[in-house]
Amino acid sequence: MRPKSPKAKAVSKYFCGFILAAALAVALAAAALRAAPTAVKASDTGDKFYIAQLRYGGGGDWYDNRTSMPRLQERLAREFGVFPGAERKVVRLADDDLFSYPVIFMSGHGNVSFAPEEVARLRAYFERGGFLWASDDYGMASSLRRELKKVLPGQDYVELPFSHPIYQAPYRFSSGLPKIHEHDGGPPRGYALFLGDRMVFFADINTDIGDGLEAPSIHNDPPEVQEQAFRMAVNIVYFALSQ
Amino acid sequence: MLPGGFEISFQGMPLWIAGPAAALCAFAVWRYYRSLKAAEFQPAWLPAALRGAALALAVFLSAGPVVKFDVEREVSPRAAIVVDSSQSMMSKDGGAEERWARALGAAEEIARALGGKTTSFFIASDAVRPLASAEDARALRPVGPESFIAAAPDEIAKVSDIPFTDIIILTDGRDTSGARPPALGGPRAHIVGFGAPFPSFNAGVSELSMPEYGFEGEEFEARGFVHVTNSSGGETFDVELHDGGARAAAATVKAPSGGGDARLPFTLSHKPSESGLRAMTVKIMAAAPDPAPEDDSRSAFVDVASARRRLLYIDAPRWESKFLGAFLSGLEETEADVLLIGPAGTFKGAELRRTAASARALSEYNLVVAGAAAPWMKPAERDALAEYAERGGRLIVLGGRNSLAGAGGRWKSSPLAPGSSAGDAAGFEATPTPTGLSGPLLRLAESEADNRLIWKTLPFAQTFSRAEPPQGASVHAEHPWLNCGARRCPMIMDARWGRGRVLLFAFDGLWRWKFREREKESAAYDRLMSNALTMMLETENPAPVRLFMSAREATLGAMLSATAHVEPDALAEGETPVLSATAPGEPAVEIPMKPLEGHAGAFSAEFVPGRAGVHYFTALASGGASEPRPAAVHASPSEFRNPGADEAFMKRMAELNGGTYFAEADAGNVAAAVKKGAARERASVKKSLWSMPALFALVAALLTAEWVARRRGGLV
Repeated sequence: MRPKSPKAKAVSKYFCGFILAAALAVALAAAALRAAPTAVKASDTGDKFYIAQLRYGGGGDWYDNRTSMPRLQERLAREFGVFPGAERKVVRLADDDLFSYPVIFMSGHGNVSFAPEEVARLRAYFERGGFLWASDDYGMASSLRRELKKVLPGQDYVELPFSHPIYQAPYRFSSGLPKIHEHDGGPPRGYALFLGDRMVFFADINTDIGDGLEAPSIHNDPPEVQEQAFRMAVNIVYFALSQ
Repeated sequence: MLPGGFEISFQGMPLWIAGPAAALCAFAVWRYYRSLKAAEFQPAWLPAALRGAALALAVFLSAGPVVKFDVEREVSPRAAIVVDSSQSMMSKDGGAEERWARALGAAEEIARALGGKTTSFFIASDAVRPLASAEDARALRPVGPESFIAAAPDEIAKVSDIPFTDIIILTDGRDTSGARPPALGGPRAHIVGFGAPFPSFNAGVSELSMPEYGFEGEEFEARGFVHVTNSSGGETFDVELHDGGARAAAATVKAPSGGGDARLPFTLSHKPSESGLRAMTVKIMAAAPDPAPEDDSRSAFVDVASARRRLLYIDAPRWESKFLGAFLSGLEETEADVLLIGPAGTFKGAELRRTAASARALSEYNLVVAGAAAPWMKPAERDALAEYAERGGRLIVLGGRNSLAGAGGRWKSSPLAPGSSAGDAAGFEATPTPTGLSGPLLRLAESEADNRLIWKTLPFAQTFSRAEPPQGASVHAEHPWLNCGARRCPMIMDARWGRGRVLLFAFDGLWRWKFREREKESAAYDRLMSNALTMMLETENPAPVRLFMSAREATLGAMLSATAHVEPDALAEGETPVLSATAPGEPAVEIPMKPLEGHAGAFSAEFVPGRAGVHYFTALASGGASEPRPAAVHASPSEFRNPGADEAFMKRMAELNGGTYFAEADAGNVAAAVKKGAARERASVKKSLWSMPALFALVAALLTAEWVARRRGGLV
């Protein structure tokens, strides 16, 4: 038999190494799958408290208020004792994990449009107990109102009186929504939609609570104005949790 | 393959050798012929042809030829005797004996006449089951939920590899699958028909619905239908609701004047005056002779609470409290007070904080549900809750971060110790234990299979409170892989605490079960919470022997599982409890219970009901007996809707399959019919030509003839 050339020996050695490495990789993968049989089902929200931001269609700037929800989550942890998520979660109505967020937030300046399947999903979300809070950044109110009529046909915005519990606890707002930002003038207004007796949607219009929750460097709002925005946001989430 | 089922194959010399060998032989014969011609041998072709034929035959034989061909021959009968074991075979047709007993008698007679060695026994309902003899069937009841007669021959072929020549079916002939009589294309089918021929009148209760829970003195409604078959038109039926044994409500329904089949709706209202698990039975009072009384009544259970229940729910504002608070506040039968607290103070129910700090004040509540608010409760409030349980109160504790399961003070000696919170980023499923699956708490669907399926599809949990189950605790679900002490960490557990009782849902995130997109999945949460409230609001303290049935309602013939939990001091050494089962109108039977593996103090037994109606079960031990647990057993609606025999079906099936239809009275002629038309069968025969000496003799004869020819020509 002819002795193997050095090149052939090297190829043979690498080949054996490759086979061993592949076998090891397969064994490790199998072991990992055995060790965590339910890992695939875990949610990335875990047991942390998130209020996800809604990514909607239609061209509006859904991505505005990037820092608002993480800051609100932090605040709610101090008030309610929940375990807060540190980052912003974004969710679309068609996403699988929509039902990981019992309360979702939306804001923007532009057009809002829901696809037919999103309309059905949002309806189901409301029916199962979900709550949508819209903070109008000036400009999305009319298109959102139009789209919500598709979700809850035959219903229209109900303006909430100042005596409504959403303005009463935990913080008292005897004059209704606080004014955070001034764009077009006029008083702030709070509108709601109901499914049966349960409020499923709340919109703050002509005030921009969402902007008031942003990091101070973004809009340079004075601390007392920011505090008003946070207090109102706590009220909105508390109402969604306790009704 | 050649026509007529004739086939030839070669098993000896491979073709690549046989081919060249044949060519060589042909060449040799040609050379031989040339040499004969050269020698002027006349006729030269004769020896060459003889030698060629001998060589060709030798090469052919050395290739190992095997021929296969079919032959037709008469076979002795091999009969499958199939007795219909569906529920309609319980009908007595106005006589003393059931169709079942009569059919078994006929089957035994046929088997005797045919000779035991040539017969096999089967019983058939929705499936076919082989039996050693007809005698074995006498120990069984005809409880099959369907009559799939048309499918029976195919099913027999699946469970037996005997090539039967005849299938003898003893049945009342109404195929409930709706199939037409099949042409089997194989064995002959003889049918022996039992029961009164079609059409036959029947009235039965169907689609009964009533609430699972009710209240003493509060009205509830039972709704359903009287299903009438072959009505002559215009008959009236009195429908009565019986609470326990007493008539509680009645209504009358009328069949349409046109006759035929009809579904007649009824509604019965009743105000129960006694609390407890009440068996409510709806009965049709016979207005006309009904040949199938088995479906004339149907029972269901209503858990009647004695008074409105009060509960206190303490939690922090969070997703859990959003869904649980809404669920508890929405319960009609319960008055729920909600106290929401957090680091910022009291959010809701400030007036309840004084109550929460006093065990005496808490005793006004039938139940307290304690969520994740432990850090913001005052020490006095936490201790008051512990004292409330120790004095006999009922507590449901939710686990996870900030759970009371991890609280200090009196809670350190609670059954929930050590109570530290543990997280798991991967997420896990709370896995039901056998104890859990057999008990009422974890029953989220009526059937066991559906229940297991629901538990597998529920969302994961990611945080839980560690607890080591104390002596006597019932662990209903556990962590799939993490241990707390010597066993898996309990995820759902109930235990005594002093004179009271505590139920722990050790994991966080139950709200995800409620907030599911589909109603059916979301309903699992409501069902679990309702079960938990029912379990915790039972008035009596846990008895030394407790019995749980796998279902409150079951179909006739379906297996019911019973699980008993027995305190150690209720059993003598080496003793196991027995299950006493009482069917309507029959004496109690006792079934020994077997220890449930891995669960100290738990025993199980199974029972297959053979009669419709309310059954009662009790677990008996030397140290006590459990409360009787009822289960309503229903006859299959499809079996009794039309109890008449379908003679046309039976005749057509026999006709299509070369057999004969016999009325019950002529069953004695079946054996003669089977023997008379003995079947012929085609059989395949295989023969190896290599092992046929005649062919080798032929080779020798050819060579001899060739030698003789040469000799006569002067060449030898």
